[in-house]
Amino acid sequence: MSVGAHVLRAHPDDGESSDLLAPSVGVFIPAVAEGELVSAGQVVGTIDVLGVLSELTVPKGVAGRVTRRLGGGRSRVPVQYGDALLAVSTASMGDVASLASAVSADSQGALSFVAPMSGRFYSRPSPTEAPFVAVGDTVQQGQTVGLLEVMKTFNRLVYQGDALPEQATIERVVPNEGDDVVRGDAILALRSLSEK
Amino acid sequence: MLRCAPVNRFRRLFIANRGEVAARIAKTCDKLDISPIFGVSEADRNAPYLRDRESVVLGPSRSSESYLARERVVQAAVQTQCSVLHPGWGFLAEDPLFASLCEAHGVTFIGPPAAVMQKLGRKTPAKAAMAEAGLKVIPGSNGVLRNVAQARDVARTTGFPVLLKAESGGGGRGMRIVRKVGDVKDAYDSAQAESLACFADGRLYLEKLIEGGRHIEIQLLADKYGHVVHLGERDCSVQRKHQKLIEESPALVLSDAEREQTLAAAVRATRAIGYVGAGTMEFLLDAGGERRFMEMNARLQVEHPVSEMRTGIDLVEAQIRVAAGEPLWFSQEDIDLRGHAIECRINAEDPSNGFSPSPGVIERWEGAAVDDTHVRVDTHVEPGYEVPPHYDSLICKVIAWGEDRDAACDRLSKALQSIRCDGISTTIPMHLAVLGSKAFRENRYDTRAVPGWED
Repeated sequence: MSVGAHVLRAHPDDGESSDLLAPSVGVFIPAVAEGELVSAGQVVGTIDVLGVLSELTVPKGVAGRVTRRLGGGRSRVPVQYGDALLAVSTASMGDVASLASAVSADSQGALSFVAPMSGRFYSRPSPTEAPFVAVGDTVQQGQTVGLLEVMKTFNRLVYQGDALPEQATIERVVPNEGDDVVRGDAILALRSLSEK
Repeated sequence: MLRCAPVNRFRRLFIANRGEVAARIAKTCDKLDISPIFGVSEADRNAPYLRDRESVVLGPSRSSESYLARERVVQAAVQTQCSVLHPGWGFLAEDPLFASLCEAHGVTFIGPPAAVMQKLGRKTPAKAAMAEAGLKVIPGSNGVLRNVAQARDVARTTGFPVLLKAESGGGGRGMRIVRKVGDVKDAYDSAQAESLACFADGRLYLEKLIEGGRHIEIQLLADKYGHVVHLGERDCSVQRKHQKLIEESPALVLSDAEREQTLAAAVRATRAIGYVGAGTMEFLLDAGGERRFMEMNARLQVEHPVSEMRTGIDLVEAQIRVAAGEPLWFSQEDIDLRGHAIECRINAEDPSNGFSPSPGVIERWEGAAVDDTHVRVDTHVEPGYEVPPHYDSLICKVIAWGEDRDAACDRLSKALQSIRCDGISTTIPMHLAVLGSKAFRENRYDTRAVPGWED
């Protein structure tokens, strides 16, 4: 039984992956394997400090595939404070599904890009990289504007569809990083450019 | 002196401390062919004294999550396969809970049994034990104070001025001098707040303040079989705000008869309480020549090299051998107390600016390897070392031996003058002023003021 909990600290060592660091000296007992997808709030293992077990959770803003796990396949790994327990990479998500986008427009010509299904929204490919899009950017058909994590799978949110203008300006990114959204929630507030 | 074969019970020793004392303990480990493993914080992980050494990072810089985190320290010792742990001084050195935790996990704790430590760590049971063993103690509250009202009553009976002290205190923290009854409340509240913050224990006791005294302490060593010896006394009266700055042995303020009597009483009391390992009994010598027991420190002291220089006995080695179950390999008669030894504690502080802390990078550090067999330098500092702001300010100790006090003083001054330190301020200028002062040389001073130095 776990009696404590630690939110892991992420150390960005390069633009494409983050290391999740041991919060204490102790024995790391991993709960995820290399290749698995992890996301914020998920318990990825426990740390045993003199028989006291604490759950280790993924910090906010981190999501992706585990590319490296300390200790290889061992089930109990002695670690020191600051050791990289897991490396999580978001760059390796080439196989993520692209979700068909949805749109709703009001009479003023303001467009809303909405979530095609329920999930967790991420604006950037990894915590250390720039967001896919920002307010004021112009998006065009086929462009990725964010990630939606649905059942541990990351999906690209692609600006694409017959109902959408060829180009649009982003007026607002509605959810915060890591927010849970439900189908139909607005993701982006847009203004059409191509209908002028 | 008879020496037995090196300790073979311990192969790997965990050092649960940092800086100067960690480097000091490792030196003896090297001599005994024991591998030292350093438990360190994030702030110390790249310190030069850890180069080519095995270390494990316990936690972040904050002591409460590294050097003071009992479970982390014991876990680290266990997972690095250490069978014995040296706590150094400060941090967890006198924490009975920590000592028990080590033993419960199969790690031998270097220090007295937890029960003895428990008794000594809280000041009032310690005083009671010493009074029972026949030592004179400082009058005051008979145990912990219940509240301010009781403090006022006891203070009136004892007579002002009095000293309010933290039950779990040390190092001058949680202490307040009270000179009149109207000040008791404020002093009580602030001492309690400080004590809670420093020791997580707000209990206070009270004793008569003896002003103008000299701080005399006895170095003791006991094995598990009831053998107790002393390694002479030390005079630690050069203090600033209850922090020792200079220590020496012998204490020339004692007559031969007084010295013999105090040493014998300390040995007797140590045996009576079932003490094991290295320990120090502190006494206050008042202006009238009365010696009263203050407290017993259940650990190695910062100033232990003073006694090592006079006796040739390595106290850390003795601690390790005693912990391994070896009997002391010498008796009182074998201990030869030679000449005079003095130690200066060099702190990263600016003595001409109210001793304000001076952390930072030591850009230049020369002359600390003094070429004199009668001078010893204990330090973890090297050029380029950064004194972290998280811990205490001790960076180096210089100890000199001489045939007599003057010879030791001269040698120490010479050694201190040869040290070149740039980048941070140190207390070296103050030490040189003290060692050269008439008041210090003539031994006319007490714990209230630093001889030869105006704050």
